Amino acid sequence: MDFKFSEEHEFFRSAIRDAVDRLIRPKTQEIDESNEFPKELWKEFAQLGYLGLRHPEKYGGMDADVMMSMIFYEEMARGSCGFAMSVTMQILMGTYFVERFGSEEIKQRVLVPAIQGEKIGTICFTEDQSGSDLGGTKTTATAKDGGWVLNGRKQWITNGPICDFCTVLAQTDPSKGMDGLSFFLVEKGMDGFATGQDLNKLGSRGSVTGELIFDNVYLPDENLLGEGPGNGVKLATDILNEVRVMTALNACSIADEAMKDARGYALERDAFGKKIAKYQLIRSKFADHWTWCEASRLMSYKAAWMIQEGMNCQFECMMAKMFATEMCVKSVDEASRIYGGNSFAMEYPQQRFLRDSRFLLFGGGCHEVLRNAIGAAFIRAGKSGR
Amino acid sequence: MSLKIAVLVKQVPDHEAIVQIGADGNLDIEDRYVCSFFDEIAVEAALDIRKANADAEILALSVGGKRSVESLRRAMAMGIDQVEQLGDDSMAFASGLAVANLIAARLKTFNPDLILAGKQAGDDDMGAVGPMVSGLMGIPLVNAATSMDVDVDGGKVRIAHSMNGETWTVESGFPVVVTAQKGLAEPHVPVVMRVMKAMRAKIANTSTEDLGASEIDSTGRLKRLGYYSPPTRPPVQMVDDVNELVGVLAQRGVV
Amino acid sequence: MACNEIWAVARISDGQITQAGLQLVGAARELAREKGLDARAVLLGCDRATADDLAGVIDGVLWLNDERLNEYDAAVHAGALFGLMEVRGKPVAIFAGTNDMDSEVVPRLAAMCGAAFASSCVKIRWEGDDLAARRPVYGGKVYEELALLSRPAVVTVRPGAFDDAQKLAAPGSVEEISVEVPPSSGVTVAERVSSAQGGQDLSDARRVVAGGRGVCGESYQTVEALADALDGAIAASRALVDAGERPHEQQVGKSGKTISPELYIACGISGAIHHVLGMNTSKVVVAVNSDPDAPIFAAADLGMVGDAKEILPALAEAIKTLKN
Repeated sequence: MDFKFSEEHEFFRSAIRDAVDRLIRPKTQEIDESNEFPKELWKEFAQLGYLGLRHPEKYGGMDADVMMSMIFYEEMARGSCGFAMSVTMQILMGTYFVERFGSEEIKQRVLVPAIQGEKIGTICFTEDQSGSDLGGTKTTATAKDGGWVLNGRKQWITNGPICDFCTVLAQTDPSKGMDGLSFFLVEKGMDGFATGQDLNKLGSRGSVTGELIFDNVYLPDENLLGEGPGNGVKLATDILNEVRVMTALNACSIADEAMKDARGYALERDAFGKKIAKYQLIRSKFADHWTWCEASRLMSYKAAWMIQEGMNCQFECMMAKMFATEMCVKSVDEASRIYGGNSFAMEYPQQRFLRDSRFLLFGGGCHEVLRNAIGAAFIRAGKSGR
Repeated sequence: MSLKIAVLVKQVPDHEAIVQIGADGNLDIEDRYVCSFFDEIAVEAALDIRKANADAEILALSVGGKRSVESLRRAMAMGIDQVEQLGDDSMAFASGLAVANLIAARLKTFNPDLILAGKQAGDDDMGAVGPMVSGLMGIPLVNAATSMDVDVDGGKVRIAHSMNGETWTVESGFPVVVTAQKGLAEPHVPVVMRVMKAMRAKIANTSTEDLGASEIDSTGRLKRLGYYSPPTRPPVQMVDDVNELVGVLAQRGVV
Repeated sequence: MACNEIWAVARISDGQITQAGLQLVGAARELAREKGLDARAVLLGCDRATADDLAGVIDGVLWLNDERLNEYDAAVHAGALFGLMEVRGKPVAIFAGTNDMDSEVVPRLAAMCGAAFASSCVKIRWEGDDLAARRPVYGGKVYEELALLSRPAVVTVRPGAFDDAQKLAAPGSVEEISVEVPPSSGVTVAERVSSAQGGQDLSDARRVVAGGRGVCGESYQTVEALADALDGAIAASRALVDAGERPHEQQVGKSGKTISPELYIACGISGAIHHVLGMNTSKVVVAVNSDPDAPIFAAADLGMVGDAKEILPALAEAIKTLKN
């Protein structure tokens, strides 16, 4: 067992951290307050090559391994939760199936400009009546004239209102339920494809989120991403593993930022004649945060390692996501208590951590559903494995 | 002629890193290290020169162990292809004099026209290495440059720096040691492709023996007696009007 | 060859010994007395009158009366000091200032003679027969104390670390010394422009008025007017320098200048740690800020809550009244 990051990965982290410090952090508050997608910043990150982080060099990507992309996601959340969501949507979910299953022509048309930042991508799971329950997907794709006709509405789509292409989960055979799901590529300009308004969100502001509408959108057969119809759920698991670990690491960063900020406050704020950092009840909050955050990181990076090694790690990823985002909500809450009334003032960053932390609870599966799945697996296996 | 530039870099704790005196009297330094602020400016200044002089050859040097490699990777990520570590872990905490000696020994064979360094490092803030290299090599020195204009064909460089309340614009021939002040160049954020290249690069090393400097005294004849907390000020005294303020200042003899 | 002396390298500004120079002389006298050594001021170039002036505060002036030293050249000045060691022997210690000239000359000299070197010292004392120097490191987050185990021990001393040398009852001697002066290093001065309004060098100024975000744009004039009234230098926080409003040679803080004036007035500066590290060795710090919770007040001796734009003109008036 070796819990050390390699020297290479450490160096990579320091480079990301520097980019985040210099490019994003001066704009964090502005992004949050305006709730506008930061176009210039997006261009800068594209020019630096980060949007191609995990894609092959052949298409202008950087071929980073899973560990490096996780380090990237973790550091990005230290800058702006909203911008991190936009970028990770592009790097991971928005282009994942295009790269894995797209024809060469599709890759040239969609993936290459996405890596250059010229096209914005997204993925669509959630609907009005389904989210964590993928089997409830109502969007349909019906075979017609050697292609597919797509109908339905997707909600809560990060980058949705500004996307140039999207990967859509749709039901190709409603009789098969979960086994009838498939992914399709839809591109801007196709007849019947429309994007809705930006949602005004509580947190993760600056990433634009909204509805996508598919009204009899005709897709050629090559836009079915995946080896034949019906593989949707199996494929979704692969990407959800990475999404969940990513979300867990985002949570670690936001919790840490909140607590570091609270630390500065505790060292300066006096109460009853001494700095509040000297009080045991305040110290215990830091102790708990550190402990839980350490556990969250260990779970996250272990799950990331399992993904990299190609191991079956569906439940480890769920557990990391669940544990870390719950930790984040709790740590941010405690950080705000250290801050007292000032955590309620919009001029201090604590209120932003409170809002952003809530966002992470839902992405990658709500915890009621995840607990159910983990619990069922535990009962099935009798014990947790090893 | 093609210009040869040496850039000296050092890895130091990030300026926001927590630095405290531990229970054993040694320093507890948060594990956040970066290429020293002024050294990055020196690196960028070298790259700026190469933009106008594509054939300029740049060599980045750093003295010491594992940390020095990090700063060289940073220089590489920023755009310098040729980097070299001098010495090993035994030189990790070497004094400015020892570092300058190793660098001067290495530069004898590289023979640079221009030697760029930060005006001081973000750890010991000593400001020694640049001037010491100039002294050991017997070449001119311009400290704390805020702008620099290289005329390769004319064999000279024009430098602005602050000198006791004035801004002096000076000219020097080559070789010359120039240390970087804020303003000389604006370090860019490296593209990820270079970051990954730097991350994977094997960093060349030259040992103190190879430099003929195995006898070097890494202490620079300094012995650290201890660390101390910064002096603290008594609690602030708030005043309500300017006359009261002036009164107190006059009492303390500062107006 | 060695001599039992401590040398203070005196710098001259407008024909006057700088205050920092007077303090160096004070330091040399104090530390020499404790060990029965001789304190000497070293004067590079200049004229007889200045040498005589200097002799008023120290027993002996080593006057390198050579016109080639009148124009500043780091290599020439370092070479002349090295030459002085050749003819007189190595002193126990050489004290110089943290000014821009000696920041070039002195480490260069230390390398030439393989001597222990410590810069920006705030306190110097004897540790046995060695000098021990205390100096800020890591941007002032902590201080270190170093023993300098060589002869000479070479240090640069921050302004304010020692008191100004008092006039002697009987002036000391001036010894004209001829040393080997190396040829010019080839660094020629093409242009000299006074960078700070009022021509005061921030590094050596006794009184400094610094402005931050609270006095941006035109309201910075209130800072200049107060500096004028105080006969002090002006400075700025990183916010104003990064915004392009003030030149970076006026920036006080971790990435700018570190200064120790007798009086530092921070106006409309919030007091981020990187700023405080550049001024917290000042003798008296005054903070004027509209935010009563601004961290600058924790780094100040005297504080006043209010809009700096309104307070500064009133303060300038009050100081003029006091002067008259």
